[in-house]
Amino acid sequence: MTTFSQVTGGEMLAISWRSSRRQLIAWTLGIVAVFTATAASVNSLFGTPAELKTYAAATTASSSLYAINGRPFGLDNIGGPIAYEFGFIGAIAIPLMGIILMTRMTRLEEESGRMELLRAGVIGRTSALKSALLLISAAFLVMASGMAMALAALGVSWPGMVLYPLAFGLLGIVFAAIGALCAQLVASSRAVSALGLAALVVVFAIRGIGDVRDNALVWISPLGWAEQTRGFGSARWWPLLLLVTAAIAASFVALRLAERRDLGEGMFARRRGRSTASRGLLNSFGFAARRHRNSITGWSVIAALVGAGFGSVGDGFNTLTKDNKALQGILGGGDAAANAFVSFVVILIALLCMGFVVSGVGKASDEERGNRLEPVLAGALSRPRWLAGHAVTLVGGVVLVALSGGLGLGISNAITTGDSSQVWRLTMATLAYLPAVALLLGIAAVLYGLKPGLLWLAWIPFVFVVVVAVLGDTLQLPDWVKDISPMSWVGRVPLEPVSGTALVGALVTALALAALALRSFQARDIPSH
Amino acid sequence: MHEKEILMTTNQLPTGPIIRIEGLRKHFGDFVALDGLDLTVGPGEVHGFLGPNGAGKSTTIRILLGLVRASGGHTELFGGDPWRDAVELHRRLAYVPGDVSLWPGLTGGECLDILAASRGGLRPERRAELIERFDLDPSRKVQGYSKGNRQKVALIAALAAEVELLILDEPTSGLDPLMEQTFQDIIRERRAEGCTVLLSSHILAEVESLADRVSIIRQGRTAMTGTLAELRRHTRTRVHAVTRSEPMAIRDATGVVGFMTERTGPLFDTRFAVDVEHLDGAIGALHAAGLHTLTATPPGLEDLFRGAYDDQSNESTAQAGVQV
Repeated sequence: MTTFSQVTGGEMLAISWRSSRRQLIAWTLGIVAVFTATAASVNSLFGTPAELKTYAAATTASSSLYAINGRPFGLDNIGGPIAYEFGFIGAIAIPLMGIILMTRMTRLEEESGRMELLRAGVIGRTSALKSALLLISAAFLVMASGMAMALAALGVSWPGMVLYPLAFGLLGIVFAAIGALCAQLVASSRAVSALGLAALVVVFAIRGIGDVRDNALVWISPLGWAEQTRGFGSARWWPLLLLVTAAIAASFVALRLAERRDLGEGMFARRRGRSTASRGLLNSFGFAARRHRNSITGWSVIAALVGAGFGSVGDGFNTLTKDNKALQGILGGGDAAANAFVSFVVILIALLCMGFVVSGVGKASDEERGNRLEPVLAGALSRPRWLAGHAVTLVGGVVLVALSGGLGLGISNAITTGDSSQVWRLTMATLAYLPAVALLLGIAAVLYGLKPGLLWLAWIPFVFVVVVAVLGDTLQLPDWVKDISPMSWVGRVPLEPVSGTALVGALVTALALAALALRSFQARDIPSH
Repeated sequence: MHEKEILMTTNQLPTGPIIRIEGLRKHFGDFVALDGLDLTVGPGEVHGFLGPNGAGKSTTIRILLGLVRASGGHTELFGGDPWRDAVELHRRLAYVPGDVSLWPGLTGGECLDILAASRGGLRPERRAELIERFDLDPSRKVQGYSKGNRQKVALIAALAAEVELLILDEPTSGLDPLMEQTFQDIIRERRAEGCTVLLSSHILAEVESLADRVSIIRQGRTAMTGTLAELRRHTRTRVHAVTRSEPMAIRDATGVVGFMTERTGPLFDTRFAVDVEHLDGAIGALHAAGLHTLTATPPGLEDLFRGAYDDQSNESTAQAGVQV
């Protein structure tokens, strides 16, 4: 009995590894690379005790940024600044790695019908889930070792060298387990990712509020547990137990649910619906709008939450730096510091917009990959009309996402500062990045137009733009590299005036890319080979 | 512009073929999918399109639908160019793929309407009639649908439309025998109304009972084409006879293959296959041996199929036929 299940478990493990190894390796290497680059750069910037002191003073001047980067610990040694600078990207990218890989290795396999074939063989009900948990956990431990080696190379000592990466590794495993839980609840892989992402946004916001107010809220969020190990400050190991317990509990519940549910189904019964289509569904624009409706809503809500959540935090700078001349010298004055924070939130919303458009093109491409495009084009619907339906929906959708984020940021900032002109100013600032977002949409469209299989390449410019925007200064990237990012063309709104030529340039390039996408889409075979 | 041109040409030549394909070639990289395929479908005929998996049936259909671009050869649909005039031509036809995928989150009825709307709508009274005849529940979400139910959605969307041509790519895979019968009835009704049908299929009985003409393709080429009567001329009738004496004269008669006889009690049980033109002589010989019972099975599509696939092994064809 035991031998049998071990054998089948092994089979599934091999299958999962073969089908997902590229993603596992890419995520692991990518995160270790970004961390190593961040750590090395921070080390060269703040290597001396004097530099560390300045850094500590600037960082602790206001707790507003703790909402994003987390609370810093151990700023007297180089580990502290590294953890603080990597805080935001680590707290987002590492949980995302867990959620996305788990979705891919479980629900997506099930959705595609491949799992049905495997399950008809000697593969058990929970084998896929178990092997995904195992492989992803292993990837996180490899990631943690890589990060530890990077820290060791910079001379960071025990226990931070081990405790800090280990906390992140276990955090990733917790989110893989949360992803596994989501994958049992809802049936579509996109809904699984969305649910996981929503969970991440919630725990990120809770941790953020807890860190700014310095209260017990941080203990509600797994991100808080990882942070509270305080690897480079007064290190404590016991919060790791919370992470381990959470990972085991979530995995256990997910496995129990997986035992009980039907293949291809979620936990909720399906509802009946209309027996005829509404008129709006019967033209290419209305239809595309329906396909993207849920994701437009989801991304808009996330953007509004991010904007509103951080918008109310931003005011801390003003009050803190008003009476402190020394800090004004470091931060360049209260207004400037507040503006720098706000402009960072604007950038975050723009990045969310980019994520929305690239994944939106993916949704359009799913129509072809799912064999649903052929019968529609075999009707009297032309290729340009079909593509235009999705393009117009995505452009309209991204304007909604940007508006939600901009208004959320503007309104909450106006409430905390009592300055109602912020609503207009910050909303406009957010919209100013839209031509840059359109450019990325154009790139994704061209890749899809050429071949749906190439679409994943659009995530490379996305990651590049994220790294430049979030870590560009920390990594000391040369200006010419930063200038490749279309967001740099636009400039740092609302700190700097928007360059009109940059907006026009980005828009014209985006339109040219759209024309190229249409041309290549019209010339190729469907489905493409 | 194009549309007018096409309408004119078809008006002038009402008897011209609906589909005319000559020497069609298509390669994907270095893989040759179609290698000089010919296919002609006249107005009002039900044309069976047969071939093993990977023979190029679906690729041919995708080229006809302007989804895939031909690498060479001539393709004409309603006298127009299927790639260039795709949208105009599609208003006059309806297509059912072999593997129907629908939109998760929508109901069967909604998917049906979307498919129909993409070609310019359908006749509502026919939609209701076909939903009834195919016994489909249109208010259920499609994730819960079986393959057969998904197939029904696409079939109803196509068959409820007012079109001149139906292109059906293995349309009944997943349907139960009862629904298969309903499908055949409806195709006959559409043919009676003058609709042309290109029916790619694996189900030989279906093609046999519906098709006026048949094209058999293999490895991207047309192996045989013609009416069933024409094609049957090249095949053999299977004979099973019980006689009172051993009919040894048949063993060496011309046109007879796969002769087998054995004694069962006082009688002789004999099976063989015989060329259509030599059937007369063989039956005469059986008669001379004292006929007790006789079953003669005319060649079915299975035999045509096998004949087209491996011409060399006629012996084994006949042998296999004996089993039926």
